[in-house]
Amino acid sequence: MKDEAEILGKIRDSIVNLDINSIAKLCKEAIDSNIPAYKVVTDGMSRGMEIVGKKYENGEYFLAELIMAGETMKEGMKIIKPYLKGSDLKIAGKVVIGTVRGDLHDIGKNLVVMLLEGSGFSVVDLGVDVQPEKFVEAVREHEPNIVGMSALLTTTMMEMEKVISALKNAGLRNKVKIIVGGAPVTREFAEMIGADAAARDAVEGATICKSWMGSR
Amino acid sequence: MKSRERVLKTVMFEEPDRVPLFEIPPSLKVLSEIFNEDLANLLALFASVDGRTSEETWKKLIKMYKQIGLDCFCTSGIGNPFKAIPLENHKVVDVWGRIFSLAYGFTTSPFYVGPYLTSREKYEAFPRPDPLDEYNLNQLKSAIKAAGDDMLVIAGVGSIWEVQGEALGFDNALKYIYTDPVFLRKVLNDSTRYAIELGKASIDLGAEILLLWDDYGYRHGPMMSPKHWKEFIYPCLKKVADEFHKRGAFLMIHSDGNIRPLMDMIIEAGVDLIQPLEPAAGMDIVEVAEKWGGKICLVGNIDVSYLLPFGTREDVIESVKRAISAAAPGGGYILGSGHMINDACKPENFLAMVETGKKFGKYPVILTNFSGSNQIMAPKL
Repeated sequence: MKDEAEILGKIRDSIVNLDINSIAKLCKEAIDSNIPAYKVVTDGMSRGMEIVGKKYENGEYFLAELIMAGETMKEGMKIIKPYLKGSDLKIAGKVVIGTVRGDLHDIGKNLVVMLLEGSGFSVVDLGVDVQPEKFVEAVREHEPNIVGMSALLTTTMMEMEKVISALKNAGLRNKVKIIVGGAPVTREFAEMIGADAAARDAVEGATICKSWMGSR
Repeated sequence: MKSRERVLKTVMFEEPDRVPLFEIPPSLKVLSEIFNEDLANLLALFASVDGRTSEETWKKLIKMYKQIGLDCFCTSGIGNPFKAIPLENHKVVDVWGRIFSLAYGFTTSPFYVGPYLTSREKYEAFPRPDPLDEYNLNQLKSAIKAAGDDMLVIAGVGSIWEVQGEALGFDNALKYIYTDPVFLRKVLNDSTRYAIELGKASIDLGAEILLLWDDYGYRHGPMMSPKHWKEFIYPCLKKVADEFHKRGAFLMIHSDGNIRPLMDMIIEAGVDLIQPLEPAAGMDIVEVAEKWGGKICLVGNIDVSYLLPFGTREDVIESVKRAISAAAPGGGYILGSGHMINDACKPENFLAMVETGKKFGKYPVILTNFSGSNQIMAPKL
């Protein structure tokens, strides 16, 4: 049996190197070597995603590489998922996320979902063009720690405030942290509408969520 | 001085009488408010069978543009919208394979909602758009005729990356860089051929500046690394620029987002004008003019995320004066919005931008010292 650390290191590196063709084989090798499936995720793939996020932040990686890293992780998860037991993975936190009403852009939001899932978050993705009431219902049903909203357009960004009002009216505002993001969104805007944070991009969004949950 | 001369002098880095003004056709909602026209009537005019190709429609629009004070505007060249294939729920697939919604409550123009050609097989089974489609040529012909001597018409000639990215899905297109570069090259060559063919025909019809719609960036930076951009996009762009230059025409690129890491290569490829220099993505006019002024004609930069929709008249005046002061000396700057006048822009702010341009854009321009960065204001709710 190969050294556990060595295999996990290779899995981490295959994410960092966007090596979509070898990750499945490496994950099988990990399972065959009796490495617990959750460890393959937390100490292998998630570590890789973290490095990818850092490389993106310092300008070494771009959108193309973020997307490829996500695809590579997906390939690995296909192998690992059947071996994962619910109780094994400690959930880093729960997020309800969506693109607000009137807006159909989702590349940024999907990247946030991918990065959060890669960091062990449980994510309820409401999709695009999400009505304020839908956000409220989802918060009531899933009791998340965090609500994330995305908008690309100046015209639709205003919807974010409506969602926050709807959460206030439902008595749910103080039960969640709220993060907003998208091309026109700034920190000042977030402050003005009563959100807790604005993210400049997907990587920063995921980093803020992690910091709220006290994880790395 | 006539608009055409004003624009062309500027592009050649000479000072005309004043800084020229360019806009992509502004939102019909904003135009309807400025001219007190019924929006439903204006929209109906565009939905009519002849649509944008009809000379009457162009005449009506150009009269508005002229009255506002624009010197140039552009046609789309993206293909015949009436050849779009209908899907359910008021959606259509356009000739490139992009899905649009025609009934979207928040905007007065068709709205891109997603890719149709989500695999190599689907792309290969889909017919390629015809660059010489009558619609493209009639649109330009009728615009040039309707503009007469009054305005310069910039001819849209499609796109290399953006339309294909939208047809395949940007995430898929970016993935192909790694998983199927041969296919991605083929896709980009297809759109390059379209641009060259339509460009040549447009030059024959009298166009002097040709425009590619080609978003390379988003807020954080370019979608692909500069290395990949050089490998995949640069050769196509250079080919287009060479073909147009041979015929004495200029090439303009419309690219949103933060494209600073690509600017040197865009210039090296032979691009003559760059629009819209989106300030919300960090394209600050002072920095851009310092680094690239005099090498490429800069177009736009007046913010549409906050300033034009929510700012005050004074904010707009300040921003226009700053842009002119930074970029206009010696020519090489065309004033305009930092994307397009969208439904959210206040008509009075759009007009304030134009007025300020006319007043403070007279050569020789007065230099003002603006300290600090281009402040983008948060909206006043």
